[in-house]
Amino acid sequence: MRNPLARIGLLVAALFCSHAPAADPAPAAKALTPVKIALDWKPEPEFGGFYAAQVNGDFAIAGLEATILPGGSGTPIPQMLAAGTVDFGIVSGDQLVNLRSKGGDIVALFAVYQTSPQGLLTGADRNITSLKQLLETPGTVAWEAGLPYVAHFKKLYNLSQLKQVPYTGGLPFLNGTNVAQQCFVTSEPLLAEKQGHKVSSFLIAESGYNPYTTVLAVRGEYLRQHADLCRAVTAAVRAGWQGYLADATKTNEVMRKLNPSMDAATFAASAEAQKKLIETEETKADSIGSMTETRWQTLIDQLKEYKVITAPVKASDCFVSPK
Amino acid sequence: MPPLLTLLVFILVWHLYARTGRTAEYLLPGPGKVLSVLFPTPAAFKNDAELFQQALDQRKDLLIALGETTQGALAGFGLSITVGTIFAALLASSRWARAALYPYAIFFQTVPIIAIAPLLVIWFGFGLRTVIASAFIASLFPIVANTLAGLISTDPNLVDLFRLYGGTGFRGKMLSLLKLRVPAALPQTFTGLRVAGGLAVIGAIVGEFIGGGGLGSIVDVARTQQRTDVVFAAVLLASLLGLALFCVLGALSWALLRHWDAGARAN
Amino acid sequence: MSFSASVGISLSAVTKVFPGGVRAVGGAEPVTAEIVAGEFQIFLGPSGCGKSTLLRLIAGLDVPTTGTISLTPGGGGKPQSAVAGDIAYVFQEPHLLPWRNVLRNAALPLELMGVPKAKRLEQARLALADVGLSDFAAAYPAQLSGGMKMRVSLARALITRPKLLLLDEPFAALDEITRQRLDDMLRDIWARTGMTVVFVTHSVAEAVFLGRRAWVFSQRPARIVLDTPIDLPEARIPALRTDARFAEIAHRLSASLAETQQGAEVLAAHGLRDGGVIR
Repeated sequence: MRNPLARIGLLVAALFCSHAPAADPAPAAKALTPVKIALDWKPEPEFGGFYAAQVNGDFAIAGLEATILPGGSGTPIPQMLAAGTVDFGIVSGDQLVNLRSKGGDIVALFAVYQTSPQGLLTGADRNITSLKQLLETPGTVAWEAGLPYVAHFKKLYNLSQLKQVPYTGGLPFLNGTNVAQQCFVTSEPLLAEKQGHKVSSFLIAESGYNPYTTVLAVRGEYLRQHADLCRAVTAAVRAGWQGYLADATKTNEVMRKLNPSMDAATFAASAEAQKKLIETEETKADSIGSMTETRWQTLIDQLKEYKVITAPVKASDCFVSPK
Repeated sequence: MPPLLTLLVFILVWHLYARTGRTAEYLLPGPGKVLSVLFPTPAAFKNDAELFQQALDQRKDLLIALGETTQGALAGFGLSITVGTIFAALLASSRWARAALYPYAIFFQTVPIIAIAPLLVIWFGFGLRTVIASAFIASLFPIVANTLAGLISTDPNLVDLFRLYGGTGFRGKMLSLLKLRVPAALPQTFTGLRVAGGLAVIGAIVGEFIGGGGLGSIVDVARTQQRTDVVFAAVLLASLLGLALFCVLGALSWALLRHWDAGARAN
Repeated sequence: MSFSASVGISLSAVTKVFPGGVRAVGGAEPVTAEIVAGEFQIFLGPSGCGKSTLLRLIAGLDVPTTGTISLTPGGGGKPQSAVAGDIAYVFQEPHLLPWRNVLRNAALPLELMGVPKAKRLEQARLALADVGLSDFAAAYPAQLSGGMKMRVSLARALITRPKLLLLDEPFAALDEITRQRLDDMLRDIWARTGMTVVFVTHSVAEAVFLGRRAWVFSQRPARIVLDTPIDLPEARIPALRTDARFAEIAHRLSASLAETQQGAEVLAAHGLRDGGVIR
């Protein structure tokens, strides 16, 4: 999650929204089933595979016509999914567990990142070489204090020297000295370097907190009623990601038209940088996006330990096995 | 009595709606759940000591935050009263000044604070100063607009009367301003104050989203944690703050205006 | 309270044209006339004819477009400019300050002239006694009736012992009985003080009852179409209103009013046909 501003009111919208209207019906010749996927941010390499599935025809092959809805700062996808405003949406693993613990029923179909790109960055001139050093050296950090990784850090490190301020997007580490900030390591560091600032960035995952990130989720009730459709969507998305990892050029062009705020070079660099977070030894070949019960259980245990959730959550209820 | 009755009816309707389960609890908690954030009992946490302690800590945070937001809102409000009334007096004194400057005062009403947030933080840093700035920006315009309207709508016959005995020189103009225009403008000024007070609270909370601290950051964190009961509790406290401010202004208005005609006194 | 000073008013070729071309006074025929010191002068005319504007010119609240208005001291002498407090003005509405009590409202003119607090409140008490409101010094305007508020307005006007008292239809909004009572009060004060009074009205009955001399004005722009003395005894008792001479003077003034176009409407408002007399 990057720009978290202005989520207020969208929660209220989720309260009162009815089901989103169906997409335009396909031409009579091909009876493609329409599906809508709601993103939680603007089109970026983070969602490359979804757009690739559209561009390369993977959805069409599966008999689907997909509409991808870009999000913005504050789109409350978990609530929108649970309320039925959208059928398919992108959430993070911890959001999913949290909502389940409160009685919301959403289930993960596909996880883009095996390693979460959530990270912290700071100016390279501070010569900081580890997360521990970053968090225990006197300074300021701009982050969303409500995110579970913060509770994780509180348990792990001594944050008494740190002044915590809100993160509202942009590159706040530039304002003042000894400032660090939340980031997606595939995004903000590249942006900073493009503007001529040297930064050091650190993956939060390396400190032991690694939820599945950019997860395609669906309402539990919907999954039970449309199991075949969900399988088809998952397969199309997987194919899309395989295609995007192989060659991102055409899809990047399409995404850039929708999101002109990043230039072509940064798009390409970001797409390249994220590869190692998406592909691991296990997921190479045909298991991109698959998830294991062990990792969900670890996440649940951690969230319980950090008091993010109080009610129990069953790991096997959180996701669907790819097969 | 009547407002209390309305409140009870409202809480009852809210409670009944929440019971129906039409809207999930994580979206719309019932009044009981919200109140238990402010008044936690061990029983509510099934006697889990750690959870109960967490709830007590949460409540302590909320009350501290209420204090911080109150500080920011009052300071911002005080600043906008000072600047706003002086600016209105300046605008009232000359048609040229009004034409040249009034349109820019409207900027304060229409600028979305969220849009200028990065600037506020760069200028004022994180913390109370940004919150005060935000509360100031949000509450300035109604004070200027209403005070100005009050100052330029003085009864022209009374203005004539003051000129007749006080003359048209500087002394006469000052007498007219201080003994006629300003007191005559009080009812309308108070209308502006009543509107601005609530806006100062909202402005302070928005400023806290950006600058940290107070009820704003509690709401921000609680939203991310999907703790809608805490969000509602914080919103409730903010409403109480706004209400308290409104009541204080009402009492002040009553004290100052109680001898006026019922028509001149703006309830 | 009695004062011996008064002023005469000399209007010389006076016109008033407002920005935008509205001709209020004079127009093609500038107004030239004299008001004798100590006079009870009536300005009678249809609504909107400009008599109030002329009154404001005399008060110095506005400046004539052409011509001059000068004040000469009673008893002869060179024209002199008015000093604060020499001229008092009573409006159509009482226009009291609602945030002040009656006493402080009455004291306002002295306050604006810089008179110390004790002295001006003392004078205010005297002025209130003169209009019969001593018991209400601590009351606030919101608590008073229309007639009482107008009496406070009168007390306020009298507090500086003015040489010239200008009144612009002051009792028009009051009921008949209160109006007559205040007419009596005003006339009595004038008789005691000897100041010059200019009284604007569009009621012929009031004009005849109060005045010693009357100017009838034309429709806008205001010009004097009739200048006549009102030949009635100095002591204006209520019985006078049914006197034959009263009716005759009233008729003469009404006729003059009727000649102005809007005058006919004034008569109609009094419910009369040709040849009638205004009550």
